[in-house]
Amino acid sequence: MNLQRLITVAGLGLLFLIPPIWSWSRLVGTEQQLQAAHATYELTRRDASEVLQLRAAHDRVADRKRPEDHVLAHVNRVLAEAGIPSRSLQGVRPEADIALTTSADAGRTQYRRQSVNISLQRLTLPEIGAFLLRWREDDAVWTPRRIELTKHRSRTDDDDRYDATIVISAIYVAEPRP
Amino acid sequence: MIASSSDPGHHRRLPPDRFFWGVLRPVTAGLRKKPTIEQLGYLFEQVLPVPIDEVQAAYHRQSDGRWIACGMKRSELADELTGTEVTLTPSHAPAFLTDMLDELRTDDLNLLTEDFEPAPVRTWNRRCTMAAAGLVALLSSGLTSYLYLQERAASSEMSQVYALQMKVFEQALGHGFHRSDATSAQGQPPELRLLAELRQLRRTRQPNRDVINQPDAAEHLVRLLGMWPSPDEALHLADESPPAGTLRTTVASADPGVNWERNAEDMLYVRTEVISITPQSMNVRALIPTANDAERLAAALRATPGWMLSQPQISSTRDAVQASLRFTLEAISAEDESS
Repeated sequence: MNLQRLITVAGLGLLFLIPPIWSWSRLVGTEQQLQAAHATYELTRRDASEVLQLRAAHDRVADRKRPEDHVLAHVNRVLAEAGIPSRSLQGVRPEADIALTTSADAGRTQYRRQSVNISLQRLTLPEIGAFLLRWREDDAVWTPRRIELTKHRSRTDDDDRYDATIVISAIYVAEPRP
Repeated sequence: MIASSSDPGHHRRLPPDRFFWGVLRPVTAGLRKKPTIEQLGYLFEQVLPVPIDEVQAAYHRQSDGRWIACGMKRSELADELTGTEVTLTPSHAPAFLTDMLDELRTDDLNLLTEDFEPAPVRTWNRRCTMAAAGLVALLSSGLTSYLYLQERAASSEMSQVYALQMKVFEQALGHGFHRSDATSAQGQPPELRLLAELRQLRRTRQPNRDVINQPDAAEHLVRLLGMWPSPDEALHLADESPPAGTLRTTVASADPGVNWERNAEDMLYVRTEVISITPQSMNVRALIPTANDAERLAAALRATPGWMLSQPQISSTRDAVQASLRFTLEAISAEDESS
């Protein structure tokens, strides 16, 4: 086989090889994209499922700090739902707002605890129970952290009523650390 | 010129004295073991009486690295051919070569190549080449088509996966999501929106254990009052609607301060002054008729789940005794003991 024929055959061979090589490279690229699409889809499906699941759950933590008037309105609403006259509410006073230190997620999400002191007076135990029950049903974010029941001093000593000091706390997401 | 001897058929053989012969040693001449035809020609030319351009030559490699060169003047070869030959070779090797070499196949020294290649051979070769090229082209197109179809199938599957993903986005992102969002340059990509929402939900609804495990004083109050001596007086915060009647005498179950009348032998009268619940401790301060009754109250409350009762403090007042009960969380108590 002379050189010219060899070059011709080699050229033809190359010419015939180019289309399948080009198609193969396209197929490889598409299959890689397909694998990536499958992986992304699975990830999206899992995330979406988790989103739907979490949406069905209650907030355990507030997404931001709640203003004081919001808490006051909340207390009044719960008092009304529990059938407690609003005059029983002596005051709502904000307490310390402190940062929480958590072992996990350190440095990623910073949480803070907002506390509010609620003073109620002349409540019977059933009223206190109803208030706490309605409070829990109404909002799972705010948790009674401290409760102090003190016998209400009245003229008649048989008045079975208590002054209640309830400190409620809510964890909220603070701005992430820079 | 000696008369030629013709073989039957198209394979013609001529006596060796009609040819030029040479034994070439390319390695000795500084060439590779497998030199090119041109290089062999230059070596052969050194023993030829005429220029190599006027000679049609054939070469055969021996096992010891030497090459046997066989040639004939082109003009003589052209005159010799009748047009029907397919090959033209020496009938046998010359004597001086048979003495030098163990074996020489003269069939390999065919001079009808290149310019002297017979038309039938050339046609056959061309047809073979065309057939081979056609076969390769067929294989190439078949393979290309197969790969193209595979690629299209993969593209189609990718479109389906993408469509499924869009459906998932629609389900997860709700009414605010539209297909146009996926390609809109202005809107945030749905992947990022989903991820942002997931992160926000995880932070607020699935925080880590340290954040979730916040003490609930109401639960502790329920546990404490649940252990109160009279079962009817337990406080059930978990009930849908706590009946007021069962809670009426929970803490102060008698008319304290006046007299401590007992309606029954096992009745325990307690006038509770303070109940304090904190994340770490609980305190109960109450007025009770006798120290013995204070012990009974402490014994009943001692079993409060999760809490450990310290030694009750009892002090006498004018017409009763004051009992102070302090509870500590069992986890904290265990830590204190271990330290």
